[in-house]
Amino acid sequence: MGADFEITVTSESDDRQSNSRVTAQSPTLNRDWKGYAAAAIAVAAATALSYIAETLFPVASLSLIYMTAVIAIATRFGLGSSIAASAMGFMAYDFLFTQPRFTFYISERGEFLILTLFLAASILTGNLAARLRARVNAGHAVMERMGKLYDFSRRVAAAASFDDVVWAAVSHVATTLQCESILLTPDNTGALQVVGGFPPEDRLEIRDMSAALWCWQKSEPAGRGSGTLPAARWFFLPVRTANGPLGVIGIAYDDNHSFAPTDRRLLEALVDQIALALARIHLGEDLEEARLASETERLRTALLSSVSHDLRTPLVSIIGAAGSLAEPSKGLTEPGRTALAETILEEGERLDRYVQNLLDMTRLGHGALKPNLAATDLADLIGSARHRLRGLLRDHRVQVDLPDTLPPLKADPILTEQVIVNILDNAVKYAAPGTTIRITALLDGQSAVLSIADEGPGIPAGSIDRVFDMFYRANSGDAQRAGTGLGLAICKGLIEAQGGRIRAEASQPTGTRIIITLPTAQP
Amino acid sequence: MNARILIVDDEAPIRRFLRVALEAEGYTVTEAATARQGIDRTALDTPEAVILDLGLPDADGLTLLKAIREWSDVPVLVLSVRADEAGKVAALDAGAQDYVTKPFGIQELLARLRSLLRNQITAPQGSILTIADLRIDAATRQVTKSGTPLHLTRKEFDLLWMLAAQSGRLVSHAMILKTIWGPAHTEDSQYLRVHIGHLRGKIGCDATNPTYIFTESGVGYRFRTE
Repeated sequence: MGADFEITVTSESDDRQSNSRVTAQSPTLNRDWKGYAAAAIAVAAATALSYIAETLFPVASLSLIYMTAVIAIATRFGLGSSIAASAMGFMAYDFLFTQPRFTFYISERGEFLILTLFLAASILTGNLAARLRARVNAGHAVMERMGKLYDFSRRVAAAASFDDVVWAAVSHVATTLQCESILLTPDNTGALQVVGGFPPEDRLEIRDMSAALWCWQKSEPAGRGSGTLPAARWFFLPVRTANGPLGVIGIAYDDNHSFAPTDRRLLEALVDQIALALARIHLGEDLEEARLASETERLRTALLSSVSHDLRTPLVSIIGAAGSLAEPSKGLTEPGRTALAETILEEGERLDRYVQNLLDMTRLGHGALKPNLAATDLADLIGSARHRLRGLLRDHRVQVDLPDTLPPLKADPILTEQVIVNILDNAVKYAAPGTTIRITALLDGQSAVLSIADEGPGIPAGSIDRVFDMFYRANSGDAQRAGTGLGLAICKGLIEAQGGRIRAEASQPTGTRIIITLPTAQP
Repeated sequence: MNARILIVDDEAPIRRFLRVALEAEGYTVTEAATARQGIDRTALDTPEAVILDLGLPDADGLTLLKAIREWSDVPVLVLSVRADEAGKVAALDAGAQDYVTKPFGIQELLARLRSLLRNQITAPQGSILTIADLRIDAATRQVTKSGTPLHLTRKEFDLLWMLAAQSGRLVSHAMILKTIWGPAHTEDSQYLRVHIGHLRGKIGCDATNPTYIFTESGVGYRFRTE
C-alpha cells in the first residue's frame, strides 16, 4: 500500500543541494579497472625492460624507465592509475633492483634517496600528466558539445513546422545525451500535452506528469535528481524565452545514471535553442494567421461585390422582362414578346453559370474534389464542351487541330470538360464575334499540352500571372464584362487537382492563349 | 399524342411550368410532390412516362425509382443537378432511361421525353434505321452513308445499331459494355472509348465537333435524332 502515494516535501533551496549532489562525482578520480590493469602491465613491462637494460649495460638509474611508464599511464588513464603505477613501480624497483635484491630492505642510503625521489617525482609528473589529459579531454568534450549544439541549431533553424521542431528537439536531445526525451507544450486550452518523444512516447505516468506540470507552472526544474518529486522517472526542464514559457522538456535514463554538470549545461543550451525555434514557429504561425485573415477579408469583400453585381444584374433583366410579359399589355408585339422571353432565358442561363462557378469554387476550397482519373480522349472533351456551348459559340469560329497520334489523357473527363467550357466561355466573352478560337494540342514527353487561343484584346502585360486569382478581372470598372472573375481560378483549381498545370500567355498578333498541361495515360 | 406524363417534384414552380409546357405539347399531366404520392400516382394513373426529381422531401428519388421498378417498367426521365455524374449513373443503374440536368431548357426536356415515348412505341428489331444520311440495315448488317457502303467490324456495327436504335436517348457505358461485350466487361470502358473512336472515324463524325455520336462525359453516349 505504501507505493500508492508519496508525500513530497519540496523546497527551492533543496534544489541547489541536489545540484551539488549530482556534481559530487569527480572526473579525475577514474575508478575504471582498466586503468589499474594497464598500470600493472606498464610496470611489468618497465620491469622487464629494466632487467634487460641492466644485463646489457649497467645504467645508473633504472628508475627513469619506471618514470616513463608512470607518465604514459598518467596521460592515458589519469591520476588514479598513475598513482597506482607509481606505487607498483616503487615496490618492483625496490624488490628487484636495489641491494639486497628480492627483499624490500634497502641497504644503501643512496638507493633509499633515489627510491624516495622516484616516488615523489612519479607522483608529481603523473599528476601533471593526468591534469593535462583532463584538460585535453575537456577540450575535446567542449568541441564535441559545441559541434552538437551547432548541428542542432542548424537542424531546428531548418525545421519549417512545429512538428519538425518537436521532432528535431526530442531526437537530438535523446541522441546527444544518450537518454529518452519527451517534449510537452500547452494545447489550445492551455493544458500541457505530450507533443513528441524519442523514442516515440505519447503519455506519461501520473507521477511524471505531476513533475512536468510543476516544472511548467513554476518554470523550475522538477523530477528525478531535482528537489521536486525526485522519485519521478523523468527530469524536466522548462522551455522558455524572455517572453514566457513555451513548454517542458523531459529526459530519462534507463538505469540509475545521474547526469554530469556538463551534460546538464549541454541540455540547458539545447533547451534554449528549442525555445528559440518554438518561439520562431509560433511567430510564423501568428503571421500566417494574420495574413490568412486579411486574405479571407479581401476575398469576402470581393465575393460580396461580385454577388451583389453579378447575381443582381441578370435578375434585374429577368424580373423586368418577365414583368412585361405577365402584364396584359396591348402594345407588346409578337417579336417583342419573343425578345423578352429570350432575355429571360439568356440571363437565367448566365445566372446558372454564375451559381455553378460559386459551387465549384466552394468544392475546390473545401478539398471535396476527388478527381476520377481515367484514360480520356481530348477530342471527346472538346466535342462535348463545344456541344454544351453551341448556343454561345454561334458567332465565333472554332478551329481544332489535334495530332492523330495524341494518346488519351489521364484526366477526370467531367472536370476537364468543365475547364474547357470555362476557357471557351471566357474567350467568347472577350473576343469579338466573327473572330476565331484556335484549339491545338501537342505531345510533350509524357504530357499533352492543350492550347486555347482567342483573338480578343488580350490580358494587359504585367497582370498575366494574376488572371488565375479569384475575382481578378483584366478590365475592371465600367469596361467590366459580365462574369464572375472565378472562371479561370476554377480552371486552375480543377487542373491542379488532377496533377496538371495551367498558364496564360499573350497570343500573336492579339489575344490570350491558355495553355494546359496534363499527363497522358500510359498503356 | 395525348400520352399521360407524371411529374414527381417537390417544387411547385417547376411542376407548374412543366405542366404548362407539356400540356401545350398535348400531353396529359398529373403531379406528385412527394415520393409517397409518386408511387400512388404511378400505380393509379399508369402514366406512359415519369419525370422524376431526385431530391424529394420524404424519400430519395432513387428509392422511389427502385420501388417503381419492382412492378413497372414505365420510362423514367430523371431531373438531376450538374456535377453529380455519380448520381446520374446511379439513377441509370436503378432503371432510369435518361436524365436532364437542372436547370434545363424545355426544348431539351421535350426532346428527351419524345425519344423515351417513341422507343416505347416502336422498338426497331431487324428493321432498317435511317438517321440523317446514314442507313443502317440490321438484317444484312449493312451501313451506308449517302449511299456509300461503310465497312464496319462486327463490334462497331453492334455499337452503332445499339446507339442508333435508341437515338436521342442516353446509353450508359455500363449498358453498352454489358450488351456488346458481355456482363463480365462492364468496367472495361477502355474498349468502348477505342471502338467509339473508330466508329466515329468511319461514319465521319469529328469527335471535336460531333454530329452523330455525342459524349456525355463520365456517363455514356447519345446518338443524334432524326
